[in-house]
Amino acid sequence: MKRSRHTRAIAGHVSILLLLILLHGACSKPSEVEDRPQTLYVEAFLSPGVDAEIRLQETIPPERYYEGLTIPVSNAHVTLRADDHSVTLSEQGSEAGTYNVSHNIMPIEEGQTYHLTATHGERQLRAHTTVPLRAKVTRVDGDTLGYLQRYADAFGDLLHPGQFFWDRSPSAAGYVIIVEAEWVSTLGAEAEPLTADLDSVIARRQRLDGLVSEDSLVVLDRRIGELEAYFARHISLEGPDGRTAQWLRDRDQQDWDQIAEEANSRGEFWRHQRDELYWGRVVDYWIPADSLRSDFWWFGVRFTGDYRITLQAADTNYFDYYTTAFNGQSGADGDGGPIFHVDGGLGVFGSYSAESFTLFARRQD
Amino acid sequence: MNPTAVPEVSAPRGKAEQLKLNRLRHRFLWWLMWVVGLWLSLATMAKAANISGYIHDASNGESLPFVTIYLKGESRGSITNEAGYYVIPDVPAGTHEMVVSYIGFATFTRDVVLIDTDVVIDVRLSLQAIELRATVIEADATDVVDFDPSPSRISLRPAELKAAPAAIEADPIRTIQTLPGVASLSDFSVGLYVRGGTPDQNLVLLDGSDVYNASHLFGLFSTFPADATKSTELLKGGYPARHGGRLSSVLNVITDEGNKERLEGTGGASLLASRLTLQGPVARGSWLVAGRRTHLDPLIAAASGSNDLGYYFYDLQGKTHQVLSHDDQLTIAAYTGLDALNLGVDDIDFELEWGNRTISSKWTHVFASNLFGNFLFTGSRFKAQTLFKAEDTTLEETNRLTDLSLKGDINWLPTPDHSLELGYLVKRMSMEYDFGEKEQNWVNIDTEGFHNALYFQDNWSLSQRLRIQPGLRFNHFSNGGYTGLSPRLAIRYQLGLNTYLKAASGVYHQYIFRLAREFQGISLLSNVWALADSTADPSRSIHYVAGVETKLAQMDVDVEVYYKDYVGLYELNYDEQESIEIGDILRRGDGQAYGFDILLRKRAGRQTGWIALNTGLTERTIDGLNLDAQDQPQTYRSKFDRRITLHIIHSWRLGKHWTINSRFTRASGQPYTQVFGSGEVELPSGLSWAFQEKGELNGVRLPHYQRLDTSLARRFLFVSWEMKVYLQVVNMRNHKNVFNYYWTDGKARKRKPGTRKALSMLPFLPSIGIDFSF
Repeated sequence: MKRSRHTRAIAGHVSILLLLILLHGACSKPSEVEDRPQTLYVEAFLSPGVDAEIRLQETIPPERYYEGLTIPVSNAHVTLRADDHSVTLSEQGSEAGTYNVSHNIMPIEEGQTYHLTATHGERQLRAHTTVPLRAKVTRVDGDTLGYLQRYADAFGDLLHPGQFFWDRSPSAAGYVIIVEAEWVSTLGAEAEPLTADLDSVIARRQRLDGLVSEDSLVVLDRRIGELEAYFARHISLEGPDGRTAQWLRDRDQQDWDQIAEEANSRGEFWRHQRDELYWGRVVDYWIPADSLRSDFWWFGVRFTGDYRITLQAADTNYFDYYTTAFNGQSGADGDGGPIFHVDGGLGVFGSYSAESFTLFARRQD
Repeated sequence: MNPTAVPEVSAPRGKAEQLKLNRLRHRFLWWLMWVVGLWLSLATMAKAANISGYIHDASNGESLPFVTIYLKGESRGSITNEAGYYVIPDVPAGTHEMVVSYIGFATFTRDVVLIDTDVVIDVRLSLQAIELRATVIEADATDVVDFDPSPSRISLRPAELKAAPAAIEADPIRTIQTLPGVASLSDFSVGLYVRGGTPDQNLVLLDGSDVYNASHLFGLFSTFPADATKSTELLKGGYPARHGGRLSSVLNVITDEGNKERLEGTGGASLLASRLTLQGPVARGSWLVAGRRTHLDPLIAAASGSNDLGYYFYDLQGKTHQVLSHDDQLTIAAYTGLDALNLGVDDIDFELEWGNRTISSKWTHVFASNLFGNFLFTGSRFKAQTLFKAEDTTLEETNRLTDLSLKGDINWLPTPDHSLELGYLVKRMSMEYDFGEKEQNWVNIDTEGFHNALYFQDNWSLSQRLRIQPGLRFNHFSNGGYTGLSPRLAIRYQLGLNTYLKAASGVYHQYIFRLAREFQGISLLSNVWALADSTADPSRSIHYVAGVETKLAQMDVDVEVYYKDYVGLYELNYDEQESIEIGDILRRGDGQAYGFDILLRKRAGRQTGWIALNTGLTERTIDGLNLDAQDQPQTYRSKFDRRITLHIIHSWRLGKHWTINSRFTRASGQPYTQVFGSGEVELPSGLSWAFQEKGELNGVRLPHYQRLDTSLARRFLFVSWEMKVYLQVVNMRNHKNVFNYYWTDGKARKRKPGTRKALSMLPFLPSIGIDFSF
């Protein structure tokens, strides 16, 4: 066997393979899909004794989305059916994309299955939910929680301040527990643009000061006053019934006080206060269906005052979404994102039956 | 996709299963009888004139594995095993010229006169030339007969392992990632994705012990003992019956036995860590201790201005090798490694620890000149613990995987045409997983299983040109009662002087799953290992490999095509939040990988290195993923699917003192999933959570990847110490290699939408370091 002939043959084959590789590689870069139509999504949580309210929205392309922005879908045909009884929901005049029906016309009842159909142009979504039976709270251990400042240094060694128990809801997929400070008010992310509006109006007021007459500035002053009053009313350590709370922990109280010192503008001041209260006022978590008790946790109690503890027996749609809502962020192939249970669209058409009770939290030193 | 489609035989649950199991048992008994019969018939043919012995490095007494020994002008020859032992059986009486050839060492030649009795020839190979003690001069080993029929096998010597420059700390895994068919997920991960397989599908053996976690610093650096590695062997597919229990590949790392001649020390310091290896003679053999530890602690404390954040990792390894007699050797080795992170913020304390411990004891015995045995006891433990503590909250997650194994193999060369190997494995694996709060265990899984295996293989020379290696491995896994037969076959046909056609095929089973919790290869939490059980069938793969090996202008040329068929693959089921059944927390499905590799490697001379080219495709179909409108899973490309990858590794010795190492990589972009839209759902609690609507899973690709790294090293003598200082620069052209795209939330207060940002991989990154030896 002559080596040179063999060498030439190998070299020839390698060259062909290289060419094939380059061709293969050149044909393998699919580009992103552009101008894709957006998808309908629903937001509805039916609960016994409450009017059914369906919010219909559509997804927003990522290059147009910012936190808090939603695009309601108006003029959709939305029907709700239970057994043979079907009703068409009417859109609220005050809130576009929100469709509701009175409890008197379509009562929401435990154990009943409801079918939703929403049609908008060519798009249609469908979903159904069966309202779970109520889980009755049977025992509450510790209705007053007293906090000592040294608890902050316990690093896990502290006992839970209490617990509560309930009877099983036979049709619940799981339980969602909401811990809500009643003496605290705040706003959602949709208020963020208003804080910037406040800053821009104040800046314009300062720019025009001395350049125009006082009368001309009245409009701006009035707008500033309206915004300040709105924020003061809704972002505060004061509940709807006028009772005031304070931070339970000294460290939180110091951080709260520093907001006023460190904020560069009124808008920033309200933004930071809103943020602190939004993430501190309400805590929710889930409990699997086979568990019938929950501890009270100090991490859910940030303020003094009354707390409403709500135990929701959740249906599959609500519970699956709740437990997978943060999926889709790992970058792993196996992470398929949240579970929706909506045909032809996204979102949650869920239901729950709730019970609640109150606790009182106070500083003990 | 039905996970029960895995063609394994499960515990008999019905008549059909019982019949199937019986059939398999009969088939296995038939094979066993055939093996024993062949063994006995060959034994009666055996002749006494064998040439055998050990091959050692003359400078330190280290045994040398994978060295070729042959009789010049004849087709007889052998390769040393991992203990450095060889045998050329049944050599006719007369005078023969024995040649021992190994790259890096002077070729040894000796006339051997045989009458009719066995001859023992132990050889001590010398480095071919020494100009400066630290400079290794490689000899050119040409026209060496290849006795190994296995394709897809690449061995790397220590110098080659350090050929590729790496960020901050030299890391041999980074070099292995430049071999064809081996993909990396990113600059931040040392995971090896071999021909469509994931890192957990690689059997990583450190002196025979299974290593379950081979990385430090969330996957950025490997646990590889760079200074004490004698030999590294990567089997990319179609590997023989000796190995099993993993679907994709074998990385077999053999560390030094220790210097049997004198006290020797090597070490170094990089910006990340310091390391030291000491070895020397003791009793009738040697000892070795190697350690590495990060010195980041004070830097982190200085940077953060407090002791709230602490991180370190270390590796510690010890070994002794004793030559009890010419026929008996004993090695005892141990390794421990740990990563520890501690983060304290105000009233919160977060601790994360994970690490491996292994111990192995190996006895090698020469029963007769042509009958060699290896017997190992190995223990391996992987432990990971995560603790979160604040006020009344203590969340604790613990995962322990313990592996105790007895392994053994007997290698018998009854005739020049047969090299028979019979081996067994008895492995007890136990896994504990606990997750809970204080005294409450929310999730508690405690399982154990025995993995027993028996294998046989024969390296059979059918003619002067044709050599085959049939093999059969029988597996039994007690947890779930699974049995599996794994036939293997490798064929080598010699076309020309240095040209071989090679092919191999085999069936492989895996009884263990790694539940990776990572962001594109970066471990966010420690991995969790789980065992197959009655709810989770084992995985299976079939490999087909064919290729040609030759020499071309002083270069080894290796071209291979491959196809791997995977059944019972799994992904972590992120939807399952509360189950304690392994079967529920896995999504199951099938996959395949195919492509071809080209490797041109120059191993001798002043300029060495390789060009590696791979093109391939890796795809999967997994239940619950990439669903169509009818909720049926659609095939998708894996995250690590690379259409084409080119690596060029170049090492250039400039005179006595200077060496330049370079690495160039260009690869097509990895797949990613496009975001189509965003929305928010307001919950009954009043809190709003955003979600993203995504397109086809991994439906589009990132821009191509490109990186050029260079290192410049200078060697010199300082008193009697050999020193090497080096400067290395990663990504010299500062190419913006995209790690991933993400969308920002925008600025709500300014009504400003989010933008797409690219997370970049390593930028232009220089680093320096120093190595020494004495």
